[in-house]
Amino acid sequence: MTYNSFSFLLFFPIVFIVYYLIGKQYRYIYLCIVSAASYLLIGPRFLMILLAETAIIYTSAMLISSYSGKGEIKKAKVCFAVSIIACVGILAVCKYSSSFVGIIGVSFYTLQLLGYLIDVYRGSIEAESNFVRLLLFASFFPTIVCGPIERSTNLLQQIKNGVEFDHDSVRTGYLTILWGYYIKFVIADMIHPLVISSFESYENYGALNMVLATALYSIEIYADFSGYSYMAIGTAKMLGFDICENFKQPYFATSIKDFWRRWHISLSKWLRDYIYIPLGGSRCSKIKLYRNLFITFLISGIWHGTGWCFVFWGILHGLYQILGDATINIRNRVRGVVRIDNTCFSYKLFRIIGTFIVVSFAWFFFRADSFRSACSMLRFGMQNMRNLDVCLETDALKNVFIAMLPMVLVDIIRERGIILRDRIIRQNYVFRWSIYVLGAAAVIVLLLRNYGVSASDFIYAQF
Amino acid sequence: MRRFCIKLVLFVIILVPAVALFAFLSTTDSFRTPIAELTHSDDYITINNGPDEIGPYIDKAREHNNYTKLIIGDSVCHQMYTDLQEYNDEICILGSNAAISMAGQYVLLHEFLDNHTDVTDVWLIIIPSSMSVYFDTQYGYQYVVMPNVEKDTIRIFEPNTVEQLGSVYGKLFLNEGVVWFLDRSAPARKIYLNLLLKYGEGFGDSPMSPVSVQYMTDMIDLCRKKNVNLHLLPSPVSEANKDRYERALTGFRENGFDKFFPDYEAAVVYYPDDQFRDGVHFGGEYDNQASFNEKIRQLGDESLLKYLKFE
Repeated sequence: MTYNSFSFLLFFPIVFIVYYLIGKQYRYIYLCIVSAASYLLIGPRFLMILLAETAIIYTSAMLISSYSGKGEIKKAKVCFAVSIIACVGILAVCKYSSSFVGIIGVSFYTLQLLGYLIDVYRGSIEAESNFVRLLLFASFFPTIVCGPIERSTNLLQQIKNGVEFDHDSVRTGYLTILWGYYIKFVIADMIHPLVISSFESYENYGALNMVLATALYSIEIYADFSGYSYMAIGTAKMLGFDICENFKQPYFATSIKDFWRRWHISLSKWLRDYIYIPLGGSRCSKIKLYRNLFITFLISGIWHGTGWCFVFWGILHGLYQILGDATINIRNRVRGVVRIDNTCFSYKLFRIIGTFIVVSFAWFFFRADSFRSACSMLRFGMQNMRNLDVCLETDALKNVFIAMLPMVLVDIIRERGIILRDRIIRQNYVFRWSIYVLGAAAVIVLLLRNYGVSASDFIYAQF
Repeated sequence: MRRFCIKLVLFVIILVPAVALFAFLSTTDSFRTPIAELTHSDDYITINNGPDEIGPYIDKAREHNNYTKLIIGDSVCHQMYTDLQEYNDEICILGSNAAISMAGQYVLLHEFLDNHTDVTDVWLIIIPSSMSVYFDTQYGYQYVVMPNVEKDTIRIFEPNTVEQLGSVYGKLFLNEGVVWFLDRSAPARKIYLNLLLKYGEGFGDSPMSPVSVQYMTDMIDLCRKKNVNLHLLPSPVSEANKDRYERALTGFRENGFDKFFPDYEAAVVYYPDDQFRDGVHFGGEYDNQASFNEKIRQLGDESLLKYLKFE
């Protein structure tokens, strides 16, 4: 069940009401059943794989905890290694085997479970003895499909402690969901066909068309992914759970390093804590630092998708970071010599634009059907630099910019530390209720826009 | 928590009428098109669809005039014969769409016979697979239910047909008010048709559908009662779909209709597929009345050629 379906509008209110009607000590069981059932609806195979991985991690964590307690460190290490290999193996099969391709959510919950196992192995948390709680942690329906990738120290702890009904959380969660619907189903869905038509017909236009299309894609992927994240965070919030933030105005980043502190935060923190830092992080020689960055981003690329273009995208980001670090002294020196004030707004804007350009260049490969087609498109663009024709109509672009304005404004406000939904909640009830009701009506209209097939499918033109 | 429950109830009390108002406004002349565009359902009211397409045929069948003969049939019949109406003041030409099913063809026949005296001949001109049309979840509602409810011809259907329609489309959706609402409101139609397509189950999928068996029998009986000659003629068909047509003809034979229309199967003429734009209707250089006239003459049906004027 996905957020972009009417069935979610029916499903979630019922789940929500029943959830708060049942006793606090049973809520996690109910939520686990609901999460597993909604995942089962996607496909029985999906649930089998989830159960298998959860069982492996559950057993392994209990054994590691037991062995560590008895001082049998070697056995704990073997157990740890075997279960990591098993889960990564399952993930690899799901991604690369044609029989298992399309298992939704496996990339997300695998990392979640591995993170939990590593935390247990390190002794950061105790092994969870209740299988249902761990299964809920892995299958939590708001986050299973698209994240955020939660930590055992956060979500699992909240599941263990139980949640109380909180009026403000429900209101905040609801407003967050509405915001997610807007940026996903208005902005992202509006940009999507423009990007497709621009890339599909690139041979009829020139470099400017490709630049515009890539810039639009950068916005589309942000709106799409952050929209889903907001819906997930809002849904969890309404159920009383605080899920980690996943995006922090990423296109306001002033460097690639800053970008990764703002983009898909849950993944970048996971990679930092479980790959980068164990490799040595930045507390080592430059060569090792660059090696660590390269490996971390290579893994990130592989995690994102199966094609070479994803690998290249990951490597590119790794190289960006390496280059950034390698040239930082030179850049500081140059800035000092030419006396550029790096605290002024114009310099910050310059860095924001520069970062957006390099990030968008990487997105170009991320979006491509294959690495080969990306290269041929690039070659074509370079050969047609003077062709300023674009596929996109002015009206369509104008509509996109108008739709984007609220998102940009909200991001600017958030960058200054102001959370708009908290301000809305403090307004008088007429204003608040207008937002609540109009928001719900807008969601229904948005879902209707994207619902079903074209009317021509119902026209009997064949006979 | 109690306060929240009260607020939740209040929220529902405000939202439901708001949605109902929106639904109502989507049927009004002033808001119909803007709401259709807002919900990306404008193609449900702008594209010529079932009720808009079929309604006029029922109206024409009911018109009092001097026609003493009738041609009914599917859209290939429509393509080939409709333009000949201007030359024919004896024959009423009502080739429509196979999607109305034989029940719909029976309605046209029934209304024509009810409103015309001295009718001597009726030609049902169809390609074989038109006899396979059943109450499905993709076309049936728009082509069988909606036009017949709107024109009040659903009373002509047999009681078991109305029951079958109720089981496929929902009894509620045979109601005049509901049909009117779905016809006027593009978003409502969009939701209903897509839900039907996703979750519904058709009735009567077989080589010759039960509805075809029932209403072709009824047509034979009605014509016999009214002393009218009923002729069944084939339209030209594409070689590429031969399997489909032979499947339908097998059903035709198995249900005993070859005894009533012994010449139908032999009269089916297969043409090369390149003459057709979609495997069913003629296209390109073959899509013109001169070409159709030649093929009609080649059919060699004396009963039709005796009366049908080509110019």
